[in-house]
Amino acid sequence: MNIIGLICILIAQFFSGAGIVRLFRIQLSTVPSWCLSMITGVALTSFVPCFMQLLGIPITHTYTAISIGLFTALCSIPLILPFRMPRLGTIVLPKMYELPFILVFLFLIVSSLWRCFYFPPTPRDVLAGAELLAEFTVREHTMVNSVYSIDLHTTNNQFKSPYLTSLQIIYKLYVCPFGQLWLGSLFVPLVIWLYNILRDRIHSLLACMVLLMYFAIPDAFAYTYIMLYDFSNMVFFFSGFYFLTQYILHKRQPDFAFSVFLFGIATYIRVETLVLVALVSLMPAFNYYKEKLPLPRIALRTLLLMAGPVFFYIVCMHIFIPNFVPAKLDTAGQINQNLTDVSAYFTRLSAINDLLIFSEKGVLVFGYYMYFFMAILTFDLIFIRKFTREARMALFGIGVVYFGLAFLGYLLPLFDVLNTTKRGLFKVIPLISLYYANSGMITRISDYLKRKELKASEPDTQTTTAPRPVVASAKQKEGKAKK
Amino acid sequence: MHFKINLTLIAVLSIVLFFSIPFYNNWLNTNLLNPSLSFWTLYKQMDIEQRKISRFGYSYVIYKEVAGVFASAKIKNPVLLLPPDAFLKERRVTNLAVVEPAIFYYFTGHKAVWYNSPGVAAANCALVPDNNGKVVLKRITTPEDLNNMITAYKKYKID
Repeated sequence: MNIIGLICILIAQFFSGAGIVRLFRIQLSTVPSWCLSMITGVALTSFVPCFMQLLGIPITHTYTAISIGLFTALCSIPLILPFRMPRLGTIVLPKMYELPFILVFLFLIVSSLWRCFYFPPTPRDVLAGAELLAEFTVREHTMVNSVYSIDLHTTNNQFKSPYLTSLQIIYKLYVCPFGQLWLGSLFVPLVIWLYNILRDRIHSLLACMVLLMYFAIPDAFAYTYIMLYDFSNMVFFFSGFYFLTQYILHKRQPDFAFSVFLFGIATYIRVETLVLVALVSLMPAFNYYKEKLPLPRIALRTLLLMAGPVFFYIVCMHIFIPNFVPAKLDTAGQINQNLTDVSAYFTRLSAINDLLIFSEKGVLVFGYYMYFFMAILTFDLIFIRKFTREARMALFGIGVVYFGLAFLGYLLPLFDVLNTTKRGLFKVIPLISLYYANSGMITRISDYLKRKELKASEPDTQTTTAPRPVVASAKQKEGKAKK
Repeated sequence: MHFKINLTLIAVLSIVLFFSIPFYNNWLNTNLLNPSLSFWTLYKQMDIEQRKISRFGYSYVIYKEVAGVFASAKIKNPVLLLPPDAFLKERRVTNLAVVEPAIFYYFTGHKAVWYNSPGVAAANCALVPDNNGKVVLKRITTPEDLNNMITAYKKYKID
């Protein structure tokens, strides 16, 4: 493995991401800001080979390095103009009781990274698609390469987003022959950011427990080292959704703009995300309606949310495929020809329940994560009956993914249950974590722990502050008076 | 401090309890602590080809051997006619998984076709079963050879 190459790529990703995060004027504390910069940077660098191909630049070691350098410099302009030193806020160090969890998380992270590095890509979808294209791009220095001269009639993977292909090209050129390590550049920042989101809302011990459950979802963990589109799609869909909730809660326009951008990236990775974002847009629309905004403004703002995803959809479907893929994609042929039969939608919905949630297969895929969520939600519904706005929005997001995936299955018969829908359901996982951070039951336990912790630390603070000598001197005075 | 120690004990206990749940215990042991997947076992085998062989299996070895034969026999523009999986299974070839042409190209850098591929007429080699449950590489020299094979394969569906 080329360590220097890896470090250079990580630096390029970090700075290009940091530049864009700064451009959007996102207000975050230090660690989440770093994580978000890294996540954004991964997606941004994936554009480089596409731009090179578009401009007719050969995809070689030297030209790609120059292009990545120039692209990073371009994206970093917001960091330089006006020049400001990076804001280094206080980093909260983990407490003693977080350490056992952190050790477990480190073990899981190292296992995932090691497997990313060690094993070659295996899913059939990438071996007959992105990985194949990337391998021959590296050999032939062009993304329009000899792969298109072979028989591809048994696969449609060449029509998928260039996101995976591009990242594979970069990592194959500079890091290791199997590429893939970029998955770690998404996974590690995601879990650290998620941990910070949880810790901001609930007691650290509970945050650790929630994160442990997140890590221990068998299939979701496996896709942190098995390269496919869905893990990345989950990361960007969640990020976009999170910033949309922050916009609704705090009315910060940059959060909205950033959310539009992140949803756009999610659509760039999997174009059908457009349908889910369209459903998500009902959330701000309802909010505007409650604020009694005039209908044309509601429509305009809702359309603004769709701007990013629609832009990236057009880039993928109308620029990338016609110009880079020397084969024709029959989009109309993929759509359900019998859309009037709505029963197919409900059949799909029940198939999701029967095959992916309430089944042995469901347990193998998600562990007990879904059941645990249902138990907590039921408890909150029966005993607590109070939901914060963020909790309600997280539940809405979960609903969008659940009903939206069934809708996609009804719309596109190729969108099967056991593979595509299964991986699509990963998108609910971080949303469930966001719900846990706001769950009535968990926040009550959290408040109790916080109170106890504060109470337990009070005697310690008394020893170091002024009151004690005052009390002591008063007693001394009393004693003197008695004498 | 006592409270923090108590919380630390709770943390350790909850991790132990979590991984004592049979499902998660099984996941931990088979997927993460499995000796065959451990860092120390895998670290001994860092060669790229060996890693590919251990991941893709026996079929990958066969396809690489086929590519080797193409090179040693100096076959110009080799195009391999792939047999349907069911055809091989029927002839007791059980340990070879037939891959699609795209994956064959990824493994070897050479073209392959199915009997129903658009460029099947260009096929000049084929993988055919012998009588011992193995496959051998056969040159297709005449259009009749090719047609006979296609006719035999057409009875089988390509997965």
